[in-house]
Amino acid sequence: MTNEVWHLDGELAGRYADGRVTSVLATSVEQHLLRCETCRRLMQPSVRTDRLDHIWDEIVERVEAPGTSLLERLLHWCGVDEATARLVAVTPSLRGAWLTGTTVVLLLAFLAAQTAPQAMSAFLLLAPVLPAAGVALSFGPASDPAHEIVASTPHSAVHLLAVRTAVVVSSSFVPAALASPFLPGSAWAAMAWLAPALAMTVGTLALSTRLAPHVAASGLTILWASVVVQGFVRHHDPFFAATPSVQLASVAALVVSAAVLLVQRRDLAEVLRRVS
Amino acid sequence: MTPNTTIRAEGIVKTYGRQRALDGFELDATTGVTGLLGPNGAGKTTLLRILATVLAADEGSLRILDRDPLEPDDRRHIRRRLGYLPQDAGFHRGFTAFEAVDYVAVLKEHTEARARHDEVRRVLDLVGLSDVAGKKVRALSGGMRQRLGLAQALLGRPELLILDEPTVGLDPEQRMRFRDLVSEAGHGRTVILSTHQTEDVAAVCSQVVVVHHGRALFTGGVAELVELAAGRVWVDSDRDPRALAGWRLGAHRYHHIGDPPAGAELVEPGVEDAYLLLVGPHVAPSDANEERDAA
Amino acid sequence: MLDMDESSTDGELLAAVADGSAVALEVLYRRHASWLVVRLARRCADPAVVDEVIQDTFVSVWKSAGRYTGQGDVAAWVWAIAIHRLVDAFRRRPPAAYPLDEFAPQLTTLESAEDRVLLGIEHGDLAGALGRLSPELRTVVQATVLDGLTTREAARLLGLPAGTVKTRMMRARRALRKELA
Repeated sequence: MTNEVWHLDGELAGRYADGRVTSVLATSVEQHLLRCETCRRLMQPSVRTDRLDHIWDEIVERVEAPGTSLLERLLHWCGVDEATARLVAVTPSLRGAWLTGTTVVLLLAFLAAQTAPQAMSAFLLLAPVLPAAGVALSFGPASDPAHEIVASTPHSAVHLLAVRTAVVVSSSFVPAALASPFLPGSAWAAMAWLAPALAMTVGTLALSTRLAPHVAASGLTILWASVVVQGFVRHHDPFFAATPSVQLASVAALVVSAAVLLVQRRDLAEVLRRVS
Repeated sequence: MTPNTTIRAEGIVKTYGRQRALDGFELDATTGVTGLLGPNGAGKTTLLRILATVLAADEGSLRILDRDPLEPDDRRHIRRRLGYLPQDAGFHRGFTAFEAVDYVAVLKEHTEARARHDEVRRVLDLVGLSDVAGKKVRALSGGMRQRLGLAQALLGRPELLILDEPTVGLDPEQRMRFRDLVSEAGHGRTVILSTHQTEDVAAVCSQVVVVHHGRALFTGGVAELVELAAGRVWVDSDRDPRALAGWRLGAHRYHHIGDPPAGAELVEPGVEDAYLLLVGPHVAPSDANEERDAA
Repeated sequence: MLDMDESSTDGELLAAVADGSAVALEVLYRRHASWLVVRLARRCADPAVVDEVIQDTFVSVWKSAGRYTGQGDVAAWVWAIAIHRLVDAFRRRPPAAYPLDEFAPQLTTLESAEDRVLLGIEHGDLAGALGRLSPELRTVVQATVLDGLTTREAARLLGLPAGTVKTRMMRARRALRKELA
């Protein structure tokens, strides 16, 4: 015996579609519909085409334009408009790997510092380096395979630069800031990474008006690493970065870099968005 | 300057180190398709990058859409009305085809999400990529990526379309479709494309510019270009060593260009012949005629 | 990529959807949306919610087409997604009232012959037994047994506490066992 000996006729199909059958009969119809394509087709006249078209438009919109990553929603929530959130979210250094990497590295340094205060050097070394590296990775041809196309678009390069930098920087500043109150040493020492981090980031941007961003970031990283390592090796001080001299030097570097950046901002944006 | 001149370039010079990529280039382009034909390294890409406002010329005067690309405000105006397919158009490989075009659409100031998405769908449909809109760029074939590049260039119906080697990587059928697309795009707007396919030029261009050593050797219509080779193309059953260039057509049929001997069997010239006569036989523009060899 | 059109089977379409084909998704949508709308309308009186559930369903189909194993009808697979999306919709916005309750009970006797033919083929005299259940027990059986929902999901669909669904299900099971024994 086959399941298909019995089929709906047009009259029953219409009554079912209009809700004019008992629930027992409806159950029978529904069980049959799951198996019978011919009878399913009988339902087509019951739903208006424009309604189906409208639903389909919405489906296409959602299927092809998923575009609401967690980051985008977060940015949107912070008041960033949809289009800008889109641009920020596609910054390579903000896509998954970088965020995870930053958080994991900081977490490891944080845990190490919890167990051994000497490891504070590692935390104070890394916390300023990561945002600068993130900025370097976010710009220039290597970061965006579509750079040549991007360069020909009217979008304000300064705007793009500013927004991306802000988000990249906060992506490593926020976890570092969250970790700080729980670090060994005084509250001041735990926040010692902040001034060098700002100086490194703004410095990377300022140097990028003359050098490739990754060269700028690498140079500053080596400089900062030598300061921290030297402090640890020569003075046996894991908090060397927190000493007034280092902090003052950082603030001075920050001020100089910011001034350079302010003067050169248009050039920088144009430099960063193009290859040659 | 006539009102419908889209591009007027005079004496454009661009130098990289000691090498002069462009050496006093002249170009006038209006509505229709202008094809830049020339060997690799002739300066086509440098010129197109300057026209697309991503590169500044060292010398010369340039007006694009009646504006000056060196002025920031003017440049933004030009960019709003420009579509550009660069030579190696890249996209984030992790994007879907849709996202890749959507990204460019945002940069082209399509801020309203829904209208932007409709526009992205429109251009994807134009290049026949609707069905792979949800696929990652890394999963697309070379030809599909090339069409994706074209799709982003068509965003917002630009008045000026700059296409650098648009037919590279396309198979013959796609190339036919592509030519249709470009001819259509040439109605009512200005298209500048570079190619080393003489067939592309013959098929779609209303104006041809033969580029060699950073200069425009010839500027004019396709028919005028072909006319240059009139009476200088002949066929023979043997290879003729006096010809400037010659290649085998089939058994005992050789195509020659140059100064024909008396009584030679002259044939109708093509774009290829005229091009070779202009730039010399050692810089073959086309990879379609591999059997050609210099005489 | 293969060209997907009206002549492709549901299974082929679903494979193409898994491969990222929006065209295949549209063919599948045009083929199945109507009956899904009708069937959902019997469980949800608000057409706006039904439309939203259809959207959610096909977005899910798009995302999870690769998980279809090829076992069983595609229609049944899509329906399972749809009914769960309906439950989800009700979680966001609880229904005012469940519209399933009896339509024109006096027709039951007229239609019972058809019911028996249909359900009898697959489920013995299930139709007769179902028909004799009280409407509130029948609704619970339909949601759990026929729509394949868990107790918790059925509770959301019907707008009842989960405990009530559980006890009604026990009562219904007892009644059916007696009937079909």
